[in-house]
Amino acid sequence: MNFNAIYREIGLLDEALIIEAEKEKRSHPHLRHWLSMAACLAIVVAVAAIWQSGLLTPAPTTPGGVPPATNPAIVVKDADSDRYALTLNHATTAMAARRVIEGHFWQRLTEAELAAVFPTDGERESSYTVTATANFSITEMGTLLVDVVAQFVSGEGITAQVTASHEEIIKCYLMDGEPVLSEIGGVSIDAGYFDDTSDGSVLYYADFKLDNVYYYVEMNGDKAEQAELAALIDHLTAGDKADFAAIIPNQPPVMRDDNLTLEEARADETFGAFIPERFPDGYALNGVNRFVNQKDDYLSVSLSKGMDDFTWRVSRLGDEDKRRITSAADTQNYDLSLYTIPRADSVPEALWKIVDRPIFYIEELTLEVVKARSYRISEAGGSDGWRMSFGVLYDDVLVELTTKGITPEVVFGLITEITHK
Amino acid sequence: MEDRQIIDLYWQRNQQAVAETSLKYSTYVRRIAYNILTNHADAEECENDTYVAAWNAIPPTRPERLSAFLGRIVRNIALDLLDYNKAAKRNGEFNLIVSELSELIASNEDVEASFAEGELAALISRFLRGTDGDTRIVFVRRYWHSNSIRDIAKQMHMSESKVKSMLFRTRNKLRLYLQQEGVVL
Repeated sequence: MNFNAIYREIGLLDEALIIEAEKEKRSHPHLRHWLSMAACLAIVVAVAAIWQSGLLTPAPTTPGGVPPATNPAIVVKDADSDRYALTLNHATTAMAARRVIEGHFWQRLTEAELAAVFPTDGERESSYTVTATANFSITEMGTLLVDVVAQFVSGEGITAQVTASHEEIIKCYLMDGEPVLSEIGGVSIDAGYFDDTSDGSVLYYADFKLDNVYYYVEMNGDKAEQAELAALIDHLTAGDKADFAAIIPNQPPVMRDDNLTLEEARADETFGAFIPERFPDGYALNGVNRFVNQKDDYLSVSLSKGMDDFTWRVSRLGDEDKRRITSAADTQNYDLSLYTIPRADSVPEALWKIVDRPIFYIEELTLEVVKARSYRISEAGGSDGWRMSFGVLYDDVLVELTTKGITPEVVFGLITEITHK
Repeated sequence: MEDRQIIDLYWQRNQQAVAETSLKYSTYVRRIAYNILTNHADAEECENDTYVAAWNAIPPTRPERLSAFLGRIVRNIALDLLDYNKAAKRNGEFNLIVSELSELIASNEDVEASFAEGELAALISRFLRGTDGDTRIVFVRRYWHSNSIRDIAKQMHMSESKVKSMLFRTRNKLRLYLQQEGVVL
């Protein structure tokens, strides 16, 4: 079997695996940032580059010479006058994801900054309530403004997200063929809609360039939103030029994303005392990460042995975490022996989160509790060792662990070792 | 149009089937071809060949998942074209993917002699089903869709080093698994 042959063989993998890989979208575990749905991943950039190169247009030739079907576009007209008509092209592909920005931090815009970035037409009364966040990137060149992401809430309570940036915002909704462009206030608008079959909703979007600033507008809804989208674009294009210089970045927050040694981790002033002195025999270190940004502050250790894994993450208890705290007396919140697999069917929906990853007070944790969190299953190519996942609260410091291949007794020993420090 | 409806058109020998396939899967098919060939013209040629192959294969085939079905076809067509073009036009990223896979088949003739087409894939599928979701997705995106490490890292919001580490570990585990299953390596 030559090397290409095994590549071909992998082409015959189970279809379910392929479909799973194509469907999966992931939010970033560390960096909070987002350039809205319009800011895509590198692979999407690559696709967009192909798109822009003209490769995808005109529509490809087919063996039968049959042209692709025409996209069913929607035309939305101004309800009050004939000032504009917005064509919504039908997007067939969504390639949405979030963009990661290096050295990212963000801040809420002040009223003055909002007025500078989204100036209104003085002759019209604005009916929108606007809030916005500026996203910055710390680079070797200094602090750079990446974009402004705003929420526009109309008088009818309909919310739209508007992104404004000096950089072109990459489309995440694609259609086959050329879109029909509209013109509002002398500005060319590329607008469309996408039927999200996963939840039955419809996403409306539009992008345009105005005075060297790129805008992307997106909202989710039904027919009412079609008119809202057109009205909002009319509102934005009627305003004066955006002044990004009015945004003054705050002092950048402390940020870290460092790979450490175990020794360095144990020396960490904030969380080092919560790293065990020893880890289970035979486990090799994958990595130690110290991460801090405006949202997260944690120290994590990852080890593995063959098919077995061990992760140990230390952070401050967050407000969201508090919902997962349970007393050892409330066994329905954590005892896995009470629920059959698949647990999605057996665990009541109200308990999903807490049963999935409960948090125990260290004072209440016993070996029996750890055993109640442990289970074994047999899997192809893997060990059938113990697995468990839960958190332990030491005052306001939360240790969350996920283990595979380690006995409850050893895990309990690691946890109680921390209490003796 | 739903996949099922498109496949019905193929079975009715209605040429609109090809148009609908192109409408829905043009970007997808070209991307896979481009990942292997890194050449737009070649990717376009592969796309059209894929539609022809699908037209010829359905019926009698009735694929459950049209995307995976088309993906398999375009992978093979792109690979044929890559063989034809030989090393001069082969792209570095794809060479790297093939090189990583070569770790699984250090001693090659025995594998080919012992396993019929699809048997090794079935074993790998079984192995992957036993791994966690991220491991499966990263593996499939790398070796089925031929995505670059950088692209996968961005798609999965992981560091490139983490993706490399995951793939390294998965290949090692897979090699052990295949050995246990009697694949001579």
